[in-house]
Amino acid sequence: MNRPKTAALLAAAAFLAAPALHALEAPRKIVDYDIKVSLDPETKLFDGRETLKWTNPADVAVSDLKFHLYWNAFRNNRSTFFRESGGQLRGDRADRADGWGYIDVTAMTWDRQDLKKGFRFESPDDGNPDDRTVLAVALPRPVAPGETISLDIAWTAKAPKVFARSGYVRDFFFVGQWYPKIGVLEPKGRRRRAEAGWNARQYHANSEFYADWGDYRVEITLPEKFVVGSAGALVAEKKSNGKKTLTYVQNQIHDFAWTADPRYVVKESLFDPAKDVPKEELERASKVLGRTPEELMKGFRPVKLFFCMQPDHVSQWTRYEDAQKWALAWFGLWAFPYPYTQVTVVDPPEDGLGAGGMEYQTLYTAGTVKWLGRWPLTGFKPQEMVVIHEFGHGYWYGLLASNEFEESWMDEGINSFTEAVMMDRRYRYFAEFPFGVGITDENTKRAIVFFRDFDPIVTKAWQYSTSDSYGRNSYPRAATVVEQVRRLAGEEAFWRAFRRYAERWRFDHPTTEDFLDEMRTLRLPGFEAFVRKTFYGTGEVDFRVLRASSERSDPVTGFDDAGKPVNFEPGRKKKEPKEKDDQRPYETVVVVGRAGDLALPVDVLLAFENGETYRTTWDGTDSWLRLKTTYASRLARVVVDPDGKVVLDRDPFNNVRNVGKVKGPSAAAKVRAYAVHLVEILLSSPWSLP
Amino acid sequence: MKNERPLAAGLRAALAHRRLALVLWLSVAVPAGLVCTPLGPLTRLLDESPFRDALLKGWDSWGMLSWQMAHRGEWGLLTALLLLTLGAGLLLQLFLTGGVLRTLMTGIRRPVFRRVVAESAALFRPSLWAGARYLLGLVLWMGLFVAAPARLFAKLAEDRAPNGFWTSTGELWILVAGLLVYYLVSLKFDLARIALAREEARNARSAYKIAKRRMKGARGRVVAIALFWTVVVVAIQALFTNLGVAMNPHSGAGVFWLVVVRQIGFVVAAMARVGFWASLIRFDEIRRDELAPPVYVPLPWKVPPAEPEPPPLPA
Repeated sequence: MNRPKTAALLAAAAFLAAPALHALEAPRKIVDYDIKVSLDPETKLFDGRETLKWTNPADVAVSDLKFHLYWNAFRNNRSTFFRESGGQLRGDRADRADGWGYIDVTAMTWDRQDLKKGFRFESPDDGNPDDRTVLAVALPRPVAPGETISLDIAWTAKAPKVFARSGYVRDFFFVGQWYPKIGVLEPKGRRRRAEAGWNARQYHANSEFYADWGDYRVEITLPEKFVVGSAGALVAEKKSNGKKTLTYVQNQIHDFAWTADPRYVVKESLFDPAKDVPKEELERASKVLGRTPEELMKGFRPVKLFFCMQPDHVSQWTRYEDAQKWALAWFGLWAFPYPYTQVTVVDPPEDGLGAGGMEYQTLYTAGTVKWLGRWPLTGFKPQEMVVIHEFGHGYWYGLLASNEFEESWMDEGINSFTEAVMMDRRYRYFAEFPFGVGITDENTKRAIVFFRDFDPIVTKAWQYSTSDSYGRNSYPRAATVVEQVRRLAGEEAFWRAFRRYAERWRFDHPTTEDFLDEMRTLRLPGFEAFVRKTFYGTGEVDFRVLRASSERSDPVTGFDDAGKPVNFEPGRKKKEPKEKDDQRPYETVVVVGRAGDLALPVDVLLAFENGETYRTTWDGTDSWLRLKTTYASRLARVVVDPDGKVVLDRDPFNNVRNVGKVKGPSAAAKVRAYAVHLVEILLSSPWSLP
Repeated sequence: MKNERPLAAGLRAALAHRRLALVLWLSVAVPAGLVCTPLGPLTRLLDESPFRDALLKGWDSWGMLSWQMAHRGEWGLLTALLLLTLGAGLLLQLFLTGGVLRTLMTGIRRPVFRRVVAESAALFRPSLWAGARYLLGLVLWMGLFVAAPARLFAKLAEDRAPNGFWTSTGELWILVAGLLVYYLVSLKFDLARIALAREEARNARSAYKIAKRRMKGARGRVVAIALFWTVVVVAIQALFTNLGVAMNPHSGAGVFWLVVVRQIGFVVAAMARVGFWASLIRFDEIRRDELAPPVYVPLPWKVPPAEPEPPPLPA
């Protein structure tokens, strides 16, 4: 390639002059894919060609390229993915008889020079010689900083039978991470790197993805009967010989997924900000964020919504729609308005749920089953939850493109946090049972505090001790820790910092420290220790009341310095005054303690029998605190953390101590009565049957 | 009442045999009372918890979830105890049913408690055998008429899109055939117990033979009777359960009235159960009459008395 040196230098200068100090208005375009692919649904084979334009974003020349060949994870049972996962993901198992898949690059040229002889597979993470998910390509000459090269690539691929995100079942296809995808060459400074270098991880059982932004043009050829949904906008359609070729375009994304199924029923809707942003949420956001409603609504735009529904789930599409519109409104207010003009929601069939609940840019897979749309299961809201969750990834993986291989919590954890906020605000309960009782989404995540952890939250996805640990730390534990920061900081301070973080890192690649830096602006006491024990440690905390006593305080009684008896008569029994005549004050002693190594500030409330209360904040750095007071009234109750701010508290049931008998109605008696009735209902149920 | 219909007989008995219903109610209230004892220490901490006020108002999502998570050991123990109590309660009901049936047949309204216990004890052994046979029969017929066809439908649905014709047919089959098989097998068991209580049969085997004869040709009628009482009991339970939840007591007195109202509900449900048994007994009587062999009919002519035999001759 004969490119003027000055142009390359200018381009390099443009990249280098854009350090990540300020929010970007648009992503830096590194890649440009023009893909043509045809699908043979009988053999499940894909025949593809792509022209990849790639710009070296680093300040150093590179002499090799790295490609992800993700579908080789399903090539055989020696791949890293299979070795780590045992051929299952989230409960779905691989079909080991006929479910294998692969991707082979059959040709790659650069300026008509064949690059195939420079191919070699690498396993940078685990050294597995059998893994074929990262392809290194040696170049005949280095690519200069800022230089854009154009590669012509041909490949064939066979879809795996779906159990882990991508693949087919019958004639349903979900096609994600499916083409030879170039890795990320991180320039110096990107994600706090000291030196420029490739970041191309293998496909692991417990990791998702990371890529550079660019523009996509994708031509898909397949039999006419198929209904297609994709991450792009349809710009052309040609039909011939029972086949059709659909052309999709989407700019400023870092991933392109699509799906095809002849059974899809496509429902369309429109997110209209004027109608679909709830007024009360706008007012609330305006108040908390300190911005006018007009400011907040700036940037909102109509978004086309496509729902590719299975025919047996069509009745549930409005539930997807409601959750989708709510998510667009919420993210627009509390993070920033959605910058794309379309969202495609894919509803996989029940025998292809392995493809469900997965995010791609502007397109994601939801998931439901027929029975969830029917009584008595209508009180459960996994459909809404999965829509809100997967769309949320469009922000935390899509628009703030964190590296999911290395910092999975930044996508999954922050997303689980926002999911819980949205679910609870909109639907109150994630699981609603009859008679108005239910469990909130946030509470189901918070329940994680009852499990011990062996890994810090910030761990590379494939380096967690177990898959469970990856799941716990990346999702609910991280979400609960962020919720803890929110409660420590207070609504206004937290959400303002949160929105600043989202706006600052939009179209960029934030790291854990970038998120924490924004939270550091809140100046929370002891925040660094908190970060060490939670994000980078396995700290835990359990506040409890260790002692609470409140006794009448006797005046000085005994012998004085001269040896004279004071307030008693030697040899005579002391008469205690009657309770109603007793004017002595009460000496109250309260000791509260902290078990665990995570120090957090906490409020302690002392409630006295005369109705007076005393509240103090304990910084929680020592392992216990003693409070002593002499007061006219007896202590009735001590409560540690009366407002429930410490969501990481491992046992809230030892946070209260009553002094003396509990006065007033008994919650225990009420719960007991209902529990006994439940037993009676169960025992008398056979009476309704022969 | 000679020509009374089964449902009318059931309704009349439900209102008339209130004491018998109270005995049945005891089979629910006594095990529930026993569960109440270990519930005491487990629930006591709710009054010492940050969730007390919220629970008194109604419900606390985190309170209930964290209670279960933080006290998993106690909850496990309680669950085991609950299952044990449910098992014991069902056995107690199996025990009492024989006595209830016999007392209903005699029509005696008071005193009933001792009579029910004594009669139940006498009938318990064959009832237990009949119960075992019932469980075996239920598994067998469910397997044959419900599970096996459902498996076939599932096989037909394989490799096809989910929730297609065969899947829906299979689900419908499980619902309809399952209910029908359940009702028929259970009603045969009930009629066998009536045969035992009536002393028409001495053991479970012969009782089942009688029950089979009584049901043959009248399955629709007996299922209709059972369905009627199912609807009645479900309605009573739904009414009182909703009432109990709506009461949502905030005070000790409120809890007391909640308990009273709910117990009234269970007694009313027990009355309906007595009504069901009375209907079934009446059905059994009708079927016995329908299936009885032809009775003796006097001949239209007179038969002359036999000639007296001559005295034996002396040797």
